[in-house]
Amino acid sequence: MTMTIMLELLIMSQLAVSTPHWRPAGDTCAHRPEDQVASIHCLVQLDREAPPLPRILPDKDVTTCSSSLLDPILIARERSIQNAVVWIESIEALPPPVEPMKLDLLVRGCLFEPRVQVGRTGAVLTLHSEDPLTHNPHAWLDDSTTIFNITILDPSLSFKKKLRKAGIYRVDCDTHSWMRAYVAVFDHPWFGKTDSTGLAIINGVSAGNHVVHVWHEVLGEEILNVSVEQNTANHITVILPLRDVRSEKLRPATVASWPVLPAGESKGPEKPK
Amino acid sequence: MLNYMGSVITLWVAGAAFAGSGEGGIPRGNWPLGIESGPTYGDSDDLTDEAIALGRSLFFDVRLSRDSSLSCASCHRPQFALSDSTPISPGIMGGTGIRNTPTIVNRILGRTQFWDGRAASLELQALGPLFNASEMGMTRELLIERISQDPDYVRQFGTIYGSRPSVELAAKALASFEASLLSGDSPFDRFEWGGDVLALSEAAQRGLRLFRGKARCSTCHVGTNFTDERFHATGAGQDEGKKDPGRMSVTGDERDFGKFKTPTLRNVALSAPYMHDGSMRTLEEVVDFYDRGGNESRHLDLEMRPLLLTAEERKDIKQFLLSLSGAVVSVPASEIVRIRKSD
Repeated sequence: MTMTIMLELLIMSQLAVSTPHWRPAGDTCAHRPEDQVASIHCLVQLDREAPPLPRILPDKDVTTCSSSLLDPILIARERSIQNAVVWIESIEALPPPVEPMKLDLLVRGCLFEPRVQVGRTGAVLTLHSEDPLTHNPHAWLDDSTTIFNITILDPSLSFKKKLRKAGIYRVDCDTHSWMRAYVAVFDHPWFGKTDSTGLAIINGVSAGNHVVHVWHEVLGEEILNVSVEQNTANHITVILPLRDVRSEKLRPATVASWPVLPAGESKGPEKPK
Repeated sequence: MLNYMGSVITLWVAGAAFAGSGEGGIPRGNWPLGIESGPTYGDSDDLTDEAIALGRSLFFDVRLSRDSSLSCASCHRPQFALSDSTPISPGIMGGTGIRNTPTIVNRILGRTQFWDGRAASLELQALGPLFNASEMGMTRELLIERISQDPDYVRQFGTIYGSRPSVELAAKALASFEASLLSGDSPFDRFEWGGDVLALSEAAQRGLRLFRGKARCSTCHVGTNFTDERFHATGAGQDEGKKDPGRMSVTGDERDFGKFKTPTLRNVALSAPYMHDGSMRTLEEVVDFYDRGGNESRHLDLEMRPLLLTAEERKDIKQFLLSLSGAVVSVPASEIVRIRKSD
């Protein structure tokens, strides 16, 4: 039996802040193998049609970087949002898998690909470039601490970096201020990223109540309580209001202004047509 | 035999000055904070501590100049972060070089050596001044003769390389020592890598933002060593009729006229005067130079343009540059290997 939940996010967000972390009674760990038969299918949508992407205004290396780039900050198709990260709040951190996940971050045409990716702690991120100029991938955690700062001189070089700590890493390029990528790293396996249809699937979820996080680089983060039924795919739909939670630093002058109100000034969701 | 030991170079001692976890529990090896691990361009796969020690001895040995008056350290002076304090360093017998002495710190992170990148390795770089008639004035034969006259050297060459002294092995030893020279752990590094928000003054923090933003310094001065290791024409030294071809002397490509390698900014507070010709005495002059968009040059880099910095902004940038000073250390061979392989 499937269940679709339409959530009033403003009210639910308020509740989630004060709601304790739920887990099945008697569990000392969020999940046991015999419980891993349910899944969460999370559809993330925007409350209205997405505005056009802002144009990037390169102020360096224009010959290679082109003057007609669009900043892929909000990719949405028929309101379904790509690149939202969904995860279940886990009570305890699990050790990294024995075989580290392999992630890849490519620079092509002065943009990072992919924009957003997800992985486990201990994942090895390979960075490389197809561009015939210097890029400087600079990774931050918690917006203030450098994790790595690499100079990629040309396509002949690649670098491997192990992501040891959980969190959402932001990768900038110190040379080209419009370049941005995110790598969300978790110390448990219950996470996913929405695809082009806006869907993220998290498997192996135990029945019971869970706190689910939905994060997007521009739209911000929402937290919701989800009750998961056993032995079934639990469908939830999360509707995010259009807003821009980014700090001024993440809206550089090399990107045209985006006609979206900053966070806190949202006029609320549009009624579906 | 050592004739001179720089006091500024700290000899790394086992026990690790920099060991432990960096920010976020990320394990780091025993190398200065701020030095990024990853593939390095330095060679010498057979780097050993013994080779580093031999190279250090040679580096400070004045017998490696024709008139026994100069050593490598006479121009790459430890108290100036292995650079010099004059625009152009004097050579033997009244001779002079043609360009400002660049630092040899963090060169293992470098791609090519010298302002024009003519040396593809540290070994080739080490030999350059040795055999330059205006600098150290040696010949191959004289170099071997001088080294071979010292039984300690002969013994070390035998132990390390299983051979009598040769020019190539001397270069290898010198390169080993140079490869070991690293500098980091500056106030900037402690701020950015170590999470110490008090390590940088407010002015330096503003300067850092300008450095990566309006002032466009990070166009070329990127990464943990603050250089893209590429060649650019800024017009420096072109305003007085000087015609230093720069990179063109190596490539033969006219489009490389007046291009020089981006130098590191680490320890820039110690390495005045600045630019390939030492024509700028102070950091203020340098910032002013870039603020006005450089000088006219045949192939002025496309990224050079007036910055329209305020006086306050120029001061803030200087404060940031001053925060890039950190001790120079000679790390063990094992740590250099770890830098190359660590993730």
